[in-house]
Amino acid sequence: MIKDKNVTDSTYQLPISQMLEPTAVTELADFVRQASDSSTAVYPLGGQTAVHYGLEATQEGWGISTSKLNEVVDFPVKDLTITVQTGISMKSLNEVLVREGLMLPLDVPKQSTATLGGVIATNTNGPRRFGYGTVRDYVIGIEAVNGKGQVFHGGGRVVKNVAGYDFCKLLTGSLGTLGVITQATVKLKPIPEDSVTVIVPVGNPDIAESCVAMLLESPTVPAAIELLYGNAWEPWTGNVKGELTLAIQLAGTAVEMAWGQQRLIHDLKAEGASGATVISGERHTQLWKSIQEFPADERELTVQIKTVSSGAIPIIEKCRQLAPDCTIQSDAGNGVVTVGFAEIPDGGIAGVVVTELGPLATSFHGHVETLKCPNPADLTIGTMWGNLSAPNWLQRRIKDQFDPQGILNPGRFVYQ
Amino acid sequence: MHGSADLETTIPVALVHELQKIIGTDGVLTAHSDRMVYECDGFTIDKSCPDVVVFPTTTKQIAAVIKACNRYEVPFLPRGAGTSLAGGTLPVGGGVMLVLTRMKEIEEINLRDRYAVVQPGVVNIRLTQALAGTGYHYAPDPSSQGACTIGGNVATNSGGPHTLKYGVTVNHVLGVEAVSSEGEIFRVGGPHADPAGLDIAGVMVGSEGTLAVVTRVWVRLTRNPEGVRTMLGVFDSVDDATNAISAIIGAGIIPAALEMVDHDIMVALEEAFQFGFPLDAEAILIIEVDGIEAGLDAQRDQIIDICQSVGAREVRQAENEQHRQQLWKARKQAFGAIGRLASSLVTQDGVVPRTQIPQMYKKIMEIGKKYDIRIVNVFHAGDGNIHPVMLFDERDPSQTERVLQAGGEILQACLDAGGSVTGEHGIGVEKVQFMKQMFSEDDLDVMSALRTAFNPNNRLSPDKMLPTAGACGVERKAPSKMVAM
Repeated sequence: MIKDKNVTDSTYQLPISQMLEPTAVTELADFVRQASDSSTAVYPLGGQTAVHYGLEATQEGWGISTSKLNEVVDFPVKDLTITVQTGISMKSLNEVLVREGLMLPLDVPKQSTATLGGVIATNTNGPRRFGYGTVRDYVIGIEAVNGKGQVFHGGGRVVKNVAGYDFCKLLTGSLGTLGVITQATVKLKPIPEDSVTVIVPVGNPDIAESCVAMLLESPTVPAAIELLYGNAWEPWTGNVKGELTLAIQLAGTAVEMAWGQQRLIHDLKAEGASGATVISGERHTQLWKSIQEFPADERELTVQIKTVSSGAIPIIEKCRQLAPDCTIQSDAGNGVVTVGFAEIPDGGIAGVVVTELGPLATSFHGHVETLKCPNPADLTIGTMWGNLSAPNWLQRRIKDQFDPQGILNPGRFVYQ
Repeated sequence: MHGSADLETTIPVALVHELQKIIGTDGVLTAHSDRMVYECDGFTIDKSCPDVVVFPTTTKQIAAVIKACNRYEVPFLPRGAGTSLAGGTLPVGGGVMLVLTRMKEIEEINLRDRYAVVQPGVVNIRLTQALAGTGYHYAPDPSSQGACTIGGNVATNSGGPHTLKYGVTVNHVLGVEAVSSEGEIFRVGGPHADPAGLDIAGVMVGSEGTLAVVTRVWVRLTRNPEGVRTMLGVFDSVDDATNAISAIIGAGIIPAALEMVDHDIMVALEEAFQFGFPLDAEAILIIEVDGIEAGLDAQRDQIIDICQSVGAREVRQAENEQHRQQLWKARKQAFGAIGRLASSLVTQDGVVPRTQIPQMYKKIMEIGKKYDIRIVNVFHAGDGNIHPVMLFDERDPSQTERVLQAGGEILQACLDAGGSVTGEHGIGVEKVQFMKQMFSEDDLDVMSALRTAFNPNNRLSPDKMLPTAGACGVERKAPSKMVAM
């Protein structure tokens, strides 16, 4: 089937000669086998919201879309699990879940088009990871098609299971390079009765650090701990230019919320951050929606630094020095800092990622990723991911076993 | 240790000498009488004596041992405390066993960034003990936590009662350092949670020692909850108790722990611990909720309402922390107490979707009746993880045969219900034959391919976990005497 060949998002177009939209996993596997037989590249596609994420594709090939694989396979509501085909959009999935009072709390941007398969393949997580965990904590069963066209499974449909190798973990964040993810079973959580934001300006980095350290141990158990900086947050933070703001999400019962927000206001003040206020209702919802979308917003350059929690504030300070007019959203409890630059700072992407932020991230056990830049074709492994957390020889061997012809997303991931 | 005293092994003497040079003679066992201790783990049916046992104290020693084994083409495998219940540390075909219990340092505790770095031989509970007073703990709490090592927990992706809310071992492992099957030292992941590149640490957890030898682990530390409420639900029928489990989860409550113990095990526990269990009840549930103090009484009341609505006789609450600790001690030591019930025991570790516990319980009891085998039950009920314990006399071959058949039928029933044959004990050698029932040929082929990527010569932990890795020569002769839950 030939469809629109233009597989592109704002900054990057994949070299796709033919677009395939299988309606069954067996059909998808047939396509991959044909591609393997003819050494044709295969680009797995979900909602195409992260086509730019990764290095430049090295060969022309087929786009295999999961758009027709979007069914709910099994939803045993009371087991708090759901099995779906991975072409389902996060929005559709959430609509199914909300009707039963359940959620998959991953806070992914562009939910109306982003698919579950894409979320798993890119390991995309959002602010509530602090309270609820990440993709790898939720995926308990997976089906995928490897580069030989074999349909394979890992895990199952039950919440506790140690039979066989855990392919759910291996495929999470593998960028479609080990297999086209076609179906997944995920754990679910009940939607909390209520949630509110406690928001407070933090005058200087020292106060920010003591507040974050306090929040990590707070009996209020926040769902999210965000440090915000820049003009984009003014509707919520007021007009205090150049100041850092802490936004803390509390979620739970009405009783817990009432107690928690008072407790937090008190504890923040004790750490030197006075003037905390509570945001609820629509303004609260809009704030967290903006935080969720922030990494995917259109801008010149977006980088994400992932370190331990104590790295967040030094990295934020470094970014503010590099570009005082940058915008920052940081999951400070987890050490994830997302920085938006309106224009590329002096020294270029390599200057920012490799020279300025890289060593600092390394000193906090982390790395820097380029989420969005004007020309992904210019990126290298070093400017795209910084320090890799596993040796190349081992990643390469795994890749060669799953995809011996190297047809899945060639050139786009970490293999050297 | 009498390393050089007598070389009663079948492997090349030159290799033994190399091992002694690497480790020192006080860390190498060669005498048969010394090695016999290591011929099995908690799964005692199958036995195979390692040819040499070494006790390395550093990662470099492990790398050197593995390189030496490869030069002599001798198989090797790691072992922690040997509490595996599935034969995960059985040295099939002999070879060199690396016992990692001398690598027991807690190298770093970082509370600000919520992680610890431990060597693989650290006993699970030692980490939580080391954290006493800090407000943090290490969440995975297998019942064997007083003996089992964190390296072993990583190999089997261990669970425990409190993993219902907090997740199993893999949810708490951030990274590992390991030695490859060819002797290369490598590291994947580390103190922070998001790997750049493949999540190799994630797939190494639960790989039962078949991918690499883990020599250091970065684990997540968990903040202690502000408050806890521990309840004991007392039921006059097991059906009511299992319906309560289903109703609690179905109501969207995820307790910190939700355990079921049936009458016969409760009686054994009472004899052992004199806790004050209601001996005329048919089943008890141990239900624990934790979190924000301000919300806990409401959660407790909701659970009490649910239990009563499905027919609980009463719901007691642990009066204080000491009382709570006694209750958990009794629960976690069910293994010891249950030995009072019969001369031989075998347990299964199946999993079903958690709301299907009532149907599964009925099925288990039907199977017990069909094979005329007495079965008692203790379940990690909130996870759907069942531990039916079959009581018998292994001197009677007919009973033994029936126990094997009944066990197989229970696991098949778990698979038919959409579940798994193992929730926390692992495949090891015990359940290798079930892999073909749970996974397709392609699934197993891809698993085998993954193992080849890590372990191309299959010298590390051969004949474990996958039926495709070569003929598993282990025949089921008799079920295990051991049981742990």
